[in-house]
Amino acid sequence: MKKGMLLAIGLITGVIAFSQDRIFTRKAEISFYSKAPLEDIEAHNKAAVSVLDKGTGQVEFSVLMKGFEFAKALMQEHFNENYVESDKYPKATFKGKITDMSKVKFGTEGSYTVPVSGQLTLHNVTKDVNAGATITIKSGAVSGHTELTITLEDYNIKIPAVVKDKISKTVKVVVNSNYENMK
Amino acid sequence: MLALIVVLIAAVLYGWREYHRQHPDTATMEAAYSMPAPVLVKAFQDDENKANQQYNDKVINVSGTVVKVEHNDSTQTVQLDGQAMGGVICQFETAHGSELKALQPGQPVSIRGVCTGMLMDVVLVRCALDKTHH
Repeated sequence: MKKGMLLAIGLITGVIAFSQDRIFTRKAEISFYSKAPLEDIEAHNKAAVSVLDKGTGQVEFSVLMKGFEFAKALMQEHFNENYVESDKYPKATFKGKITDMSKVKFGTEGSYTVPVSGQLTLHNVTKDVNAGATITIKSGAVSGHTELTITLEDYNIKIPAVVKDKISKTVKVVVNSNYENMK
Repeated sequence: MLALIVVLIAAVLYGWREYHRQHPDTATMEAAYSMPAPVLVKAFQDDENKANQQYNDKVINVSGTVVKVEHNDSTQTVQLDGQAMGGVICQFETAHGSELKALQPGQPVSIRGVCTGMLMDVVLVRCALDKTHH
């Protein structure tokens, strides 16, 4: 009981400390697309977690690799087993910063284009990534959109030799997040 | 010669079907585990690696209390109460989305889905209402 109370107090104070500037979502959408002669591949994950600090511009994403859904079951199995090895490396994360946060006027409706830079960890490999992002303020709600292209080889993701020339070596990653205020 | 052709045709057919194979409907699959949502969340909080090995890719029946039901353009999500720091997020298969119409926060429910691991919450995908418990 005492432990529960302490935890509750910790949570409440934690939430108060957070609620100043941090917004979050448990339902960010991350999709990827790869176009190639053999076949176009796309997959979607709609349960990524993201936190954005409106003050500092710190932004984080975390996503479960097994949550990427492909139209074809076989493709999803290959993705998990042979490419990203999601049993060994279940998550991908991005930790970074919107470097020009002062451009975003959270009190004014509109779209703001900002640069983001940080580290992407995928398949147990961490690399620096840079991308442009759009922050949109509409009816008081904040949403973010970004696209980046990653090279599979950079993350030590191997394409099996038989399909090496038929599958794209890069994938386009598209991220959409609709943030909520921390309550 | 004829045997070879038969084998070849069988192989091509198998390959074609395998390549176009769809995900099975979770509602028709046997659940590997059945447990209350707080128990599943605790298992992940206590030892995430162990829970990943045990539960990921498995069909799990979770029973719990509805915290929130959300309908977005293409996804229906039910959040179940778990532990103080996180619950279970159940993403419904489009075909089963209409099952959620009558679902209200505070209501007890039993949902089956495929476990994908834990971020803030344990995430189940391709969910359907579990009818075996109703």
